[in-house]
Amino acid sequence: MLESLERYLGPEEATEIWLAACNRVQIDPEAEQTPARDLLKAVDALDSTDCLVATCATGLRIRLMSYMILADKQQGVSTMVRIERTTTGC
Amino acid sequence: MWVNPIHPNSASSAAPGFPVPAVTDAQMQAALKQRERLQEIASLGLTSAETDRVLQELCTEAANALGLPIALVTVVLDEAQHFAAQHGLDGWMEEANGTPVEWSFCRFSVATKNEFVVEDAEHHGLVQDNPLVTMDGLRCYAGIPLISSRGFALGSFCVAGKEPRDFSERDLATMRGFAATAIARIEARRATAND
Repeated sequence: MLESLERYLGPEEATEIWLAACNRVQIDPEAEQTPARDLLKAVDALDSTDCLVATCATGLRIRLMSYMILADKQQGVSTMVRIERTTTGC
Repeated sequence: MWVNPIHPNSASSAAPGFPVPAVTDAQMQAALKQRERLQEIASLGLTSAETDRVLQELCTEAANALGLPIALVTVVLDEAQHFAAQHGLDGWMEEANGTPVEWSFCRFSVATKNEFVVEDAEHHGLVQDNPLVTMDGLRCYAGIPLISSRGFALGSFCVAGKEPRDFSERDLATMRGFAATAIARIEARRATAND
């Protein structure tokens, strides 16, 4: 996640924005493993920042959603994980 | 990831009229991750959660005109492709509203700014190992790049199906017409935003 943000924002700003998003949804950014659903919430929290960050967040969200849905399908789990998005106006 | 620039003697059965894009991994990555391109996508609001009604109608018209089950307006981001509008998708792709970027056929159009046509994916060197082919059964595809007035390739207007398909020049002309309408609609967002 951070790597993707750093590509456009630079390391300091990217770290600051990512930590703020993690803080907003109360996940530990230092955790060695974070459940995909929690990561998804943090990515959604990025939506409320600027338009470029929100656009990056869309890409990350689609990646996470794709892998989550396919993994659940493989395990025979029916997921209707619909994370409601807020429209940012970007 | 390295994209094979396909040797002429490879197993590809792409029709002679449709060149296979030769693009290195470095070129692909540079194109997809270009900050200015992403900024253009952001400023045009192309990843909005709300689907544009006109783009949606264009997809339905294109699917009907080409006699194919799927038509899409894709926006190719750095990490994934987003479906700005779609007709005919179901299952996980509809739910995710996109795919990881490395599975995107449209990324070839974005990286090269050229049309990308696959008549039989099972025998096309660039996509035959793609999970959309091996798992989801996509077999044919034709995508026209959506290039903004500022020269950025944003994504593509494309059709796809689950059977091999010969695309005629007339088919592609039809697709180019839909793509032109789509990009005009997208550009109208800029005008609206600047009002």
